[in-house]
Amino acid sequence: MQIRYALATASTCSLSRAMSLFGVFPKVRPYSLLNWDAERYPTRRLAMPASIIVDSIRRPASRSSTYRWSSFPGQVSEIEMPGSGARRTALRQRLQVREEMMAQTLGIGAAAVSVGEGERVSPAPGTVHRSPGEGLARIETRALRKVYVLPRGRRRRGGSNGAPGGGGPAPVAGAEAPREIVALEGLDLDVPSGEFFGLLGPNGAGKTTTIGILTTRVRPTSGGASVGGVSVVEDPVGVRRRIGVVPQRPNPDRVLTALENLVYHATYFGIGLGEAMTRARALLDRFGLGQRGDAKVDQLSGGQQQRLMVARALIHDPIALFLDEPTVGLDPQARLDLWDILRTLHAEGRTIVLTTHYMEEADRLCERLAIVDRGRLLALDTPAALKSRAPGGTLVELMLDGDAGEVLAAAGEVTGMIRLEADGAVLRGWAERGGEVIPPLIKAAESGGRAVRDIHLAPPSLETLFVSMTGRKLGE
Amino acid sequence: MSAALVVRPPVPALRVFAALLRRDAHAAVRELPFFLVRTVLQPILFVVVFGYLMPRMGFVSRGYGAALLPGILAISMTLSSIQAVALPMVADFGWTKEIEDRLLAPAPIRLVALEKMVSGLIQGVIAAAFVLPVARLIMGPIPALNFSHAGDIAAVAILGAAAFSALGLLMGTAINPQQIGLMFSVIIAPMIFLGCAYYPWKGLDAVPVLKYVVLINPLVYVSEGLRGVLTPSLPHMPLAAVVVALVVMTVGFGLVGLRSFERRALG
Repeated sequence: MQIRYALATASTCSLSRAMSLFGVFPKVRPYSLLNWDAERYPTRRLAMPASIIVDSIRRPASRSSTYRWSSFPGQVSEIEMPGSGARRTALRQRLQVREEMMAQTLGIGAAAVSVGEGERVSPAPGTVHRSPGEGLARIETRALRKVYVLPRGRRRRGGSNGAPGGGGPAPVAGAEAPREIVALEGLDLDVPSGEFFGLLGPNGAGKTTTIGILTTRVRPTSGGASVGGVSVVEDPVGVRRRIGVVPQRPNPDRVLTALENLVYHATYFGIGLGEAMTRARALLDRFGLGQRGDAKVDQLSGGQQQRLMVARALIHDPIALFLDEPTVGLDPQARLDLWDILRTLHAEGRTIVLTTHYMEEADRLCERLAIVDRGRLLALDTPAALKSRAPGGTLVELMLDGDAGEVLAAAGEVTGMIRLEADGAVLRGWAERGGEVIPPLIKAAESGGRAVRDIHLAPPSLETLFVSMTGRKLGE
Repeated sequence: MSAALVVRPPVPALRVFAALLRRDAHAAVRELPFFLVRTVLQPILFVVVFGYLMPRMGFVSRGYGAALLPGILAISMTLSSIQAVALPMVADFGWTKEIEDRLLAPAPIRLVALEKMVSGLIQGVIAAAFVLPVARLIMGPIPALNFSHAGDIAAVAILGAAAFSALGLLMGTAINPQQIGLMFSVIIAPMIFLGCAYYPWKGLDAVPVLKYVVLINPLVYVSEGLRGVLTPSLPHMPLAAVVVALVVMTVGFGLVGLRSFERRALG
């Protein structure tokens, strides 16, 4: 069925949006887009691999109009201006302002096709979603800040900070009884469409809070965040139409079977029962759960439940996928299976944001990585580039029975050491040949009156980079 | 799955609401035996003891059973509506987080809470519909229980179930999982015993302070409203006062509950 949505004037569109809440889409007069850049897009009748839906036209105090649109496949849309007069001029001006944004949003520059009147267009796989400059699933955060205010009488317990997911360790109030926890402190991220992006950091780095904000489940204290150009604060519903979310801990609907979990989730997105059932069965088959569709979720293993969560996140075909430490608690085989699934989803062109504190996972899956700690961005680059920034040589850590600072001078005399630091009872250094420096380091420690309790060696990696930046390990 | 990645079109809020309601109906039907045991058993035991056994033992008069019926119906609605909304919500926000798939639906967060209230309302009315014929069977004929009063009974039942659902939403989002036991002993038990279910509100003339304190309890109005319809010969509040009070309570509890729900849902 071909559905046509047309651009309406501001007043009509507000009305149509209000009516659409009740399932009524009023017919509005179609307008042609006369000001379309004829050189770049030679046909006046625009036919694109996606139609344009005007979600809303908002009129803030400044009187400037904001158009939002989204697209779906196999549908052709016409945008036409009214006959003549002031209304036409006004509309043209507004559209002109937004033309570039629209072209960028739909990736028309790279993927526009021209067809005859009424012809259905099916985009060639692999051409639309990977087109350069496309902002369809671009994910951005700007100066993102989140402060959790703890209720009176609630204090931090141990290393936990009380924030969801353990996100955000920096207390800003009194040291004894912090009432505010800063989870994010001005985080700036920019993830282009189609990228496999990783957020790497230890527990309490702010990863879960970042995912929570981007998936509209946590309100930021300040700053901005958007998915596909849609603000998570101003239009959370619009964001939810674009995303799929895989939680840290599987949270399927336990009253329902595996199949029903997928079917009902699909219906929340307006997918009819018949199609939902087809999609659900296909996804269960795809993720090796085809035989478990009628099983209650409690009867599934941890790995199967997590795969079900990925299937649920995909049932409405989102353009961006957020996964919050999805492999925590999985056995090695289940983890590898999930990695394969994620690689396939990425190959399909999906934008993926993954949080993890497993450096191997980040290294092997992600195209770019942001290393975060205490709500701040420490580094952002490809895994290879980040690893090249790790201090040269092998990380050598000696756990002493007292303050390592007292033996720092003696240890500095050991040849082959590139860098050396004391962190409480930990004497930490980097050396070209880790094994060779251990005996003289032990000797240096003992000469300073300290006994060595434990020794840890690590080759250059994201882990050693993180340790060099923060003095902490990712798993802490 | 489609070949290209594209943004899903907007979904009318009513359609999302219907999908959420369908999910709850599916879950309720699957758990119907538990639902009936949870909500209907206690009121029916009251009917058996106070409407059948004790009159035969001579401890209470034969007419007490009829006087008891409105309160029993009101209690069944209280238990079912509040539990239908509050219990899953305490678990969802506390540890299972199962509601998160619904919070990711492309609709305002408050729509999910509103749907929970409507679902609780329906379950409350269904519980009353189960208790009524069973009570009639045990207690014998009740003169005013006829079709001419069906509209009044339905109106009070629906308004009462709405008020209890709204209260359930507030309780479900305000109570920590560790305090779930307290919900029954500190809130629901006093509500039932001081809800004028077993005696008319007028009877509290003997304790004037209590008579006005209990007015914060929605069960009072549902009991009195049903009493006015089913046993009009007994003292009762005017139906108009009952309707106004229940509407005010539904709106009041509902608004605070929605705000509380949003606060819990948005981390």
